[in-house]
Amino acid sequence: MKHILHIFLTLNLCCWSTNIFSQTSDYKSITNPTSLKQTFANKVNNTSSIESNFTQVKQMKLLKENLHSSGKFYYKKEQKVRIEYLKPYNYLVVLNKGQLFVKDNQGKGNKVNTKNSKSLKAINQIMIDCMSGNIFNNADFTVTSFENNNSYLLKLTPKSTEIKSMFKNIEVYFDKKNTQIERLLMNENNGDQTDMKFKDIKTNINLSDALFQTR
Amino acid sequence: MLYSKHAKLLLGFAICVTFAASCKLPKYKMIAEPGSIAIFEQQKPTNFGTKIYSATIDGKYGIKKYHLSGLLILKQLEDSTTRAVFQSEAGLTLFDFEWHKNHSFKVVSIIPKMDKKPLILALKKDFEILMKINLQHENSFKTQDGDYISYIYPLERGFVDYRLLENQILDIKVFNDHKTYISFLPEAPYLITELPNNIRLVHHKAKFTITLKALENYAPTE
Repeated sequence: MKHILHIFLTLNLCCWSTNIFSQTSDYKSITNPTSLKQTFANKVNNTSSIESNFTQVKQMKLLKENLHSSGKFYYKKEQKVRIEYLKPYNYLVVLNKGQLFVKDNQGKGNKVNTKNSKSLKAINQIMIDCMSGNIFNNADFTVTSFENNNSYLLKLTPKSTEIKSMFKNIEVYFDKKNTQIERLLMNENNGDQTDMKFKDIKTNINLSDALFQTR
Repeated sequence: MLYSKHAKLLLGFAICVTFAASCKLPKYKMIAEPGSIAIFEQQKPTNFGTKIYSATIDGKYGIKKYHLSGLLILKQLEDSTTRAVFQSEAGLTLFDFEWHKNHSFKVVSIIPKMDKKPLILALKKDFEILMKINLQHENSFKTQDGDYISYIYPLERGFVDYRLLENQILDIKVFNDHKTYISFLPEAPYLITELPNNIRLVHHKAKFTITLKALENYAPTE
């Protein structure tokens, strides 16, 4: 029985499934992403905050129907993220300087130090890097880049065995005009997908620090 | 006819005494009606389709508390296979269990951190009791205490007691040696043929509780 308790105690996972949408047929590989990397580096420097709405669709082989949810997303420099699911359930995740706070649908809050969990830390960092544009510097994933007329597509493949066991890869879509994130797709190893789309994106607005309190 | 009736009563009493001696049952007023349990089994929730719960697991290990949340999806497929999938609110599948129509159990997928036999067996048992899967018909029996009726099934260790009032499940207890070590506590009584909307699964010995709240307005769409 102690084994069960130990498992629950060490199981601190907050995974943002970013849907990986596998319609990459019209995308061409960017063989030399130097210019693209510079574009994203400029984005990192020029983006101090982001606020957006998001929708999430989970496609499961088990279910004929998809599971829909929606909420709001906030990012503030440095390393602050707030993801708030509002429908059909309430679920709040706040990341702030390595600290993770989660509040579930039943109103219970839980604070986690991500420094103790490599996988949790990696997943948290992906979200921050995707939103801030720092994605090419992420050490936990191999990044390959593609483009079509309208978008950049970055495919993130996990390097570590632990993260590989959680999902296959993540595809991140950015608007070519302003390098704003449009979509996150996560492909799970079992073939399920989670599709997160961002809309009504506002950048460099004044966001209160209270949004990112981890308590 | 009379001899046959007494023989059945004696047989039922013998079964009960055997269990009382070897398995330490609590003091029930026993009714030797082993056949009546078939009625209870026939009314299990067989066509609940898809049930989605907001799920949390709370516990305490020493002085440390832990909390895990997500969505629990219980699904009956057209081929009579039953699935239990637990995923994070953000969509990542943490585990996926399957019960074939022939009652065989399979772990379809599970993340490494949860891939521990004691945990899998504990969750398997919880879901089987909740959905009335793989109940051992042999040596099961019915008891009555006033208006309350209990249907009791043997487990690998101990027994499970479904307590009913007017065909609705009031609670479910898993016990052994006169001690209850798991309690299934619905917020309200529910029909035998359905799954509860809100229920807590309290593991008294292991000191953790699984709380399930049905997402009533969560109608998946194509």
